[in-house]
Amino acid sequence: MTPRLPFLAIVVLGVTGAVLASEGRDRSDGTSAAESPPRAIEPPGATWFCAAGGGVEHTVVVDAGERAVTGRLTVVPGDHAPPPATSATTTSTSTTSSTSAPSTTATPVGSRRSVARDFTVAAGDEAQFRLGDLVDAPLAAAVVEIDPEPRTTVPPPTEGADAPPDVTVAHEVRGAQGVDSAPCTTQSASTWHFAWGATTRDAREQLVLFNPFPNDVAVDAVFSTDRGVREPVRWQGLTVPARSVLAVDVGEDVTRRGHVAASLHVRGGRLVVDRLQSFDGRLGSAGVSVAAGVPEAATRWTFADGLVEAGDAERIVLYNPGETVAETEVVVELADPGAADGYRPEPFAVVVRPGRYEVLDLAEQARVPKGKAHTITVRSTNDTPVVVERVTGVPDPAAAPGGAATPPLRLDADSPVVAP
Amino acid sequence: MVPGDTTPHLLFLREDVVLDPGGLDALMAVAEATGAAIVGPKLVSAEDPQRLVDVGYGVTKAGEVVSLVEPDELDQGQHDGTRDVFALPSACLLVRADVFRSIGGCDPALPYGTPEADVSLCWRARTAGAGVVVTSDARALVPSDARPPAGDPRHRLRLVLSCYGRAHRLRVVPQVVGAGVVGSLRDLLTARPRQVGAAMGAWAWNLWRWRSLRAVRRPVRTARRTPDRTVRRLQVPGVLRPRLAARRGMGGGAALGVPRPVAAWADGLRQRWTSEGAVVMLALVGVLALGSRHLLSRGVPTVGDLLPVGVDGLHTGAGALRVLLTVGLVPAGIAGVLAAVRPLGSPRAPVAAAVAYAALPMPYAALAEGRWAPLAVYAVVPWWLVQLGLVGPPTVSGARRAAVLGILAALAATVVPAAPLLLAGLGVALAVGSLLAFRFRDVLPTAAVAVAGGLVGVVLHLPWAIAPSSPGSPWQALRALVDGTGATGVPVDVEPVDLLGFGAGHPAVLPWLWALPLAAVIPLLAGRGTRLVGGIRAWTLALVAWAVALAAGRAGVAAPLPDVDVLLVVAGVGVAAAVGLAAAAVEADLASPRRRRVRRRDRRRWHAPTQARRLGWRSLTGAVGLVAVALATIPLLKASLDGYWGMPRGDFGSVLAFVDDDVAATGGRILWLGDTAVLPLQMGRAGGTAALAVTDRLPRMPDRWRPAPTALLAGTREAVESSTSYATSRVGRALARLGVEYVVVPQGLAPSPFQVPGAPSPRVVDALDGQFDLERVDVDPAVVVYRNLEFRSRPRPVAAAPPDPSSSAPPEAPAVPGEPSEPSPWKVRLGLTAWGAVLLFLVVHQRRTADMQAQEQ
Repeated sequence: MTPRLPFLAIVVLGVTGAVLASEGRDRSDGTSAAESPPRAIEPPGATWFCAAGGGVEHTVVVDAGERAVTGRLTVVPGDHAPPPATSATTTSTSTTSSTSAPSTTATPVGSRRSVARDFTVAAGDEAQFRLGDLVDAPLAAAVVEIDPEPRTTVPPPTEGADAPPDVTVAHEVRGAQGVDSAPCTTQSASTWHFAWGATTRDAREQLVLFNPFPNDVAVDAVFSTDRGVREPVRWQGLTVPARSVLAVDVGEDVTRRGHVAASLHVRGGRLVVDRLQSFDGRLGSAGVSVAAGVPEAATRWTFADGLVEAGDAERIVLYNPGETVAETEVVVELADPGAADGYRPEPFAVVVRPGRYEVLDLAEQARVPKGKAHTITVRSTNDTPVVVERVTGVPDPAAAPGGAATPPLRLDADSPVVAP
Repeated sequence: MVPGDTTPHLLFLREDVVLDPGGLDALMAVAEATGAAIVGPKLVSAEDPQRLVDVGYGVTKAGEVVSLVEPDELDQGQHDGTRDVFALPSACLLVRADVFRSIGGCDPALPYGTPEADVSLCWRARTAGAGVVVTSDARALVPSDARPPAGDPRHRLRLVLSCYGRAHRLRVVPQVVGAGVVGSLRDLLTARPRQVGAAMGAWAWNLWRWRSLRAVRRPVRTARRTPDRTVRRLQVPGVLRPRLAARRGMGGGAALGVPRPVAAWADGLRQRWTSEGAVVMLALVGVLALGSRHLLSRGVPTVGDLLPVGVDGLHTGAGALRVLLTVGLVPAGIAGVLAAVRPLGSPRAPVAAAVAYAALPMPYAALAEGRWAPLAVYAVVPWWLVQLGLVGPPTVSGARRAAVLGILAALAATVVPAAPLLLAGLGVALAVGSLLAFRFRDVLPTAAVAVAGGLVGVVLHLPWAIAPSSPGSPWQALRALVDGTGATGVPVDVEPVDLLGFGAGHPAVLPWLWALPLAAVIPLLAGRGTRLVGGIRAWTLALVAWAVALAAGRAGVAAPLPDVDVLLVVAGVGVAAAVGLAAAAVEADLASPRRRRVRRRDRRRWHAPTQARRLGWRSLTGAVGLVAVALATIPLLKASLDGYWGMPRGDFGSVLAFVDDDVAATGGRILWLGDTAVLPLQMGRAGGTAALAVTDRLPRMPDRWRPAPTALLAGTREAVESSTSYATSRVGRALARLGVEYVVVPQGLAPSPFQVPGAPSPRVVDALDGQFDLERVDVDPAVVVYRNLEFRSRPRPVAAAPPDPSSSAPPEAPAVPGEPSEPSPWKVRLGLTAWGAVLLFLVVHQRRTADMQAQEQ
């Protein structure tokens, strides 16, 4: 017997098996598996950024969990960006401006210096820092570093004494139009999106650009309004110096628009961007809202709670910063379906064009029962990521100018979480 | 001859030649039966009648005479029968008198008895329409030493000038002149002035005898019945060298008075190559030169881990040594394949194997991607197979082979730390192949020699081979293989079919490279004996390598089982050897037994030599193999066009020069982070997938062998992981304690505009961008550089101590001025390896000398 046939059988079996194994597997798209990109929502880190603080009283609140924490608060003084030059008009996708202007460079903070302060917060306690007490500046941002000394060992995932401290850091802004608070963010990013904003006569929208890092960066911004997409010249290459904070009034470039969605792209580094929105009540809206931007669009968002009463507003704003049409579904699920006899509202289909936004006011939708708590999930059915924000409003008689009969809605905006 | 003589035949019989009884009758009978004008007997040695002396001559168009038998060729009836030959020796020759008269008899200018004189007579007889036939029915005994040497250039030229007609002379003489010029140039280059003088003198000698030349031509012109083109068909092809000469033993270098070693080398070359093979090999060399032209002229850029040599002032980043150690490894591997397949004895097998091996994409991809490991393995594995006897039993002792294998493994281990393990695995695979080929006696020796070689390789790298801190030592690799902790690679979505076509990671080669396994199947289907056994062993090697590559690719096991391309190289050696075996099988095993039987049955019949070939399995299989190998070379040809083998045209040397200058001035260190594909060194991993290395300058080759300071690496890893897990925003402070001044994150192999960044590390960059104390320095899109703002100039730390977690201030690392900052074991290691190389040379030289002596005896 020669070895030919047995070995040929082995070769044939091996090759056949290899071919079959290849056909049975789905081909990858060829992208490198070397490293996954950073996730949109990072796990809570040890550093918190509280950017928004322009022209208002800005307080940072550090809330310790079950363990005492030590940390360092660094307050960075900032300033408002000067108004744009009169020749600096805007370009839009529909009409191209023939004017041009040099990119705006914000004035460095100059003589104002950052102030750092170490602190300790006992377990279950909280510490509040009014930034205006620490620096003398038109506005200020803060960095809160928990356990600022670099770790020499990576914290183990198990809970216990070595687990990372359970800390939340929030900031509160207080102004003439009201007060609002929001969690500070643990993220800096090179892209920021805001689905909502307004620059009407009664409104002021400021984007607070906080650069706590040692490199200057440049920001390009594009705004989507009900009149189309606008790219103000000032917002092309807007420089934010290292370790500075700069508040820019959007209304100076995108004037009198009832809805302004924004996308900011950072060149050469990262930023933290907050939006400070205020209404004076003259046109039916009132209040102050502070919110961090969304660093990355996603295909699925969830608001864990929601409630619509008579006279309230609950608007879901969907913004598509991408270049393809987003087909989305807004699913409202009642928190207690039994209370509504098993009623399940039909999802709302919303199509969002590239670079544009859509608003769905749940208060105006008959299929959303009033007075019943619900959750809201927004998902993209064609996998085009979107940015979602919710704007809520409740009547506020106290904010009615001159004792108007119809109280304005005290608006607030909040961001959802990325659903798994 | 006497005028008016009417004798029908003339018998030329030298005085020392004895014609067997009845021989003359037999010659006459053959002359009558065939009508041949010239008939000669089979000439055998008077001392040993079993040895053939001559059965006829061939001649090239340039007049070079070729004997049809080997020196001391044993008479086994292989030349028996009555057959047409171009010319016959005049030692014993029956010539028809009328023909002899018509052509003017012998050429008086050519000494009687020389092959040229005999050829002249027969050639001119052929032009007169006469046949020349040799028959084994008559046998003559001649003294072995009476055979005159051939090769006098004067006489060769005389043949050309006297035997061709005018029209054909106009065609051939320029070719002879051209060939003479080329030959003279070659002789000049090889310092053989005597040959140059002889070639020049040949023309003078013939011009001086112009009158006698015309006298010889005249009767030829008158008696011509056969056109030159018919005569030319009977000649041996070749101008510079007769193609048959390599196998016929006449006209060799020794006969021309060339020094013996040179002549032996030249004769060896002629024995190894057919003219087709030589042309193919020249073409292959040309393609390799074409593909490497810019690397040879402009130097090899510092890409990936192809680091500059940089040995203490010998910073030869673009020097010849670096070219030799990178581009030069490709021909080294091809030469190894030639040597591995040569024992088959087939002149075509090594050529086929070499072309198949050269067609593999891995070495060129390794150059393009800046990876030394596949290149080193490409160069060394064929030479391992030479020692392990892939296609034939080795002739030297196992101990010596183990020593050579070990030295080769040690050399390879300088680049591929797991090379000794690879050698052992390769030996085991070959042993399994022997088992499957039912060659049980080869199983244990093969495995034992390979394992012993691996051990020698490890011993040569002692003590670093077993040092836990030694970067990628075989010990480390083995430990990682056992406990699975050393995986440094990233899982690659490797498809089995891509592996079989050598296209894993190189999609451009698909489907062309699929042709190689197709050709490699031939020895399994048609091979016999050694070819079949070799084919099974080669295929087993390839199958095992493919299987391990599949496992390595999917598991991301990079430390113990280097990377997929390294294993594909091993598979490629097996396939290339199988392709060589295919060529041998087509030559030796597909000649139809039926044809052989027919030839044996009809051997006593006279039949004219024919150029016609029947289309059969042999032709078909050979054509399939040829086409397959030709198709497989298409990607190689394409890749050779740019002259860089796809390498970037530049490197980071100038972009990062300021980093080198700064750390040299401040005593700082450079932390390298990023994808393994673009990192120049790899000392560990951090942050899940990012590889890291710490150097005190831009890396150079000796840095590969420096033992990694464990504490420094551990501290760096922890600092990096704390940043990538977003646990800190001030990683610069931790890095400053470790002396790290710069953090470099390559995003590609080369700066713009030479290459688009192809290996981004977004997570690492994202984490480092979020640090307050790392200032990003914009230098190039392909590399992200951070300056550590916390770093303060300091004396270079000595063997950095582990960072103290309780310390809040950056501690000053101890420094000893005037002393080297780190031990330099690489020098000792390099020295040991060099000694190993010298030892290898001595062993090989000794073997070659022994082989030559044995051949001469």
